[in-house]
Amino acid sequence: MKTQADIAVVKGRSLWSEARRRFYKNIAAMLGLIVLILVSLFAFFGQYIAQFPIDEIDFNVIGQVEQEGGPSIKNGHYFGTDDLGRDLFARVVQGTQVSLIVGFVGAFIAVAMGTLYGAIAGYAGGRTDNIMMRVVDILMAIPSMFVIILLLVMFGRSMAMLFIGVGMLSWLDMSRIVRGQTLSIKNKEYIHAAQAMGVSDVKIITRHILPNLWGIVAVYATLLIPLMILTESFISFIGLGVQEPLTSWGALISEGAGTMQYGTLWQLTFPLFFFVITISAFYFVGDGLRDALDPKER
Amino acid sequence: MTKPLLEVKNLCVDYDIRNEHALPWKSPQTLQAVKEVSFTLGAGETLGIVGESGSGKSTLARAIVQLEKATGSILWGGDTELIGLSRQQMLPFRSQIQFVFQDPFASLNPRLTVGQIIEEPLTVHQPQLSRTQRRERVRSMMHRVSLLPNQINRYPHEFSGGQCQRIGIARALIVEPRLLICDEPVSALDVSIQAQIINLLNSLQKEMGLAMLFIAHDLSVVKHISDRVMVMYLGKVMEMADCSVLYKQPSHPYTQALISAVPLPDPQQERSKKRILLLGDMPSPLSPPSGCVFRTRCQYATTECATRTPQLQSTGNSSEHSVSCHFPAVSLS
Ligand code: SF4
Repeated sequence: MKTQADIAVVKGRSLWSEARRRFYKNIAAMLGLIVLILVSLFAFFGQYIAQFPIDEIDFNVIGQVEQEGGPSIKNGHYFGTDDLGRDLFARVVQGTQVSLIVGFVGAFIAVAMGTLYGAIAGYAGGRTDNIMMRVVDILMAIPSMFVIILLLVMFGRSMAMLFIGVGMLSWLDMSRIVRGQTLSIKNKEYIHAAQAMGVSDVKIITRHILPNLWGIVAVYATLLIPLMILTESFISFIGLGVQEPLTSWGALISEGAGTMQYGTLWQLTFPLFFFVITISAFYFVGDGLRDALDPKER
Repeated sequence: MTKPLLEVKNLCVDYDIRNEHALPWKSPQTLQAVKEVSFTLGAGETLGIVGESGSGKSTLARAIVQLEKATGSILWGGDTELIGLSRQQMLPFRSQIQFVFQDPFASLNPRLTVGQIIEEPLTVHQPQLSRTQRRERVRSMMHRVSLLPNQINRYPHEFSGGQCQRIGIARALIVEPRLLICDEPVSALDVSIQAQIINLLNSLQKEMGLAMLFIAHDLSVVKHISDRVMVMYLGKVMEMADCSVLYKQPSHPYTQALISAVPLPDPQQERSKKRILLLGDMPSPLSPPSGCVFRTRCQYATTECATRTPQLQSTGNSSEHSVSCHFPAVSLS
């Protein structure tokens, strides 16, 4: 037998779905999201549009890059060529891939480590918390750029080293933020309730604390990605980043800036354009997320 | 004589308060949140605990379920000492002692649905149940606390304060505990809702044969639900008596002041009644007054009160009525 109440189970609106609704209403954030999707599509599928592989030198333009190497549909170099006569379109696609990967993987490492570390420190409290956070303080005192450069010089320039260097050193901020948030959640009554009913610590962290942290973690993660991209670009700009023939935005911008005085301005503007719109788009999305996730803190 | 369900003896809870800027080898200050509290509670009985905020009543409640480190003795069911049990050993007793909290919103995890919240104790204490069995239990429990079972997938922020408190009650009662500790369950609610929740608790208590510890900060709420009442001040028991006795013959000056603050339904009486105003604030529990802890605000205080600490003693007019005051007779006006 079914009663009326059984038939119509009301679907609840979770905090997530309400946040999503608020996010959709935020025009700047939605524009940012669209830009990010377009840039990602460009990174994924650009190589199929490109007429040349990234490392092929076009002998038709070599030696006269200023005159022949400009952006043109006719000869297939949509973004022109670089100083050596390589197709800039293909190289920007490649640079976008590398920069986005560094951004996402670096942020992922930072978020995973920072969240776990911070949540444990915050939940354990007392002496454990004290020691764990002092370790973070000490690590923070080391200039991170210096360490990354040292790592790259000592262990060679590789993508893996870049990930480790960038990711490992940026989880510190994350762990501080998460710890602070955990401390405030820990004193909420629903945590006391779970403790009083005998829920295990692991379950309390995974079921009650982490889901309430995701909001703030998501916001900082989106703000962390552009930071990672910036860091990587800076390292590439000073010539320590990814190795040829691989490239990244930073490396491309560096090359473009180097040849600026010869009048080949497109070599700087195309990578710079992608760099700027992506970084701004990430900040807009991060901002929108923050507004959507805690509407009170505006 | 049947054994009481819960027997608390000389329960003390101390906190170490460490000044942030103190040198590490300095010994921390000790704050005695609960001082030598003793009481017994029979099956199906309700003990009201009353006191201002900071009187240690919530700490006492938390200590009973081992959320605070306590010393003394908490005897459960006449034979099990709860203090000193390991987490694992404590687990079976946690299902028999359940908690209802003060803030109906803060006591429910906003990311979980009502169904997930209510079934959580079941997942801990009766893991053998299948998902559908648990859902069934949740539905019937929701029905018992007058929530519509079709709201099972909703989230706490979609409910009112009173409904949230019902969810909290459902969560506490789903494992069929023997003792329910209510930590100011109605203080955050509107007066009209307060009555509903209290009636609900009352009827559920009768149905399930629950014992209750009912904590509140004023006497008016406790009156309707308690068999006995314990009045606390600065971590100490001031007076303990049967509910009817306490309201008719309050012997401790603090109890009298609390009772005079309870509004009377009859406006005539309300206007003519003598009100005892308590002056000042409760002293800091870090440096409680010497002798009687209430003396800084007591209108009958003498020099003796400052030097000698009154013990909780029977008043003689009823074996259940005890008071900790040197001059309970003086205050019987
Ligand atoms: S002992 Fe003295 S100060 Fe304390 S309540 Fe009694 S009369 Fe007042």
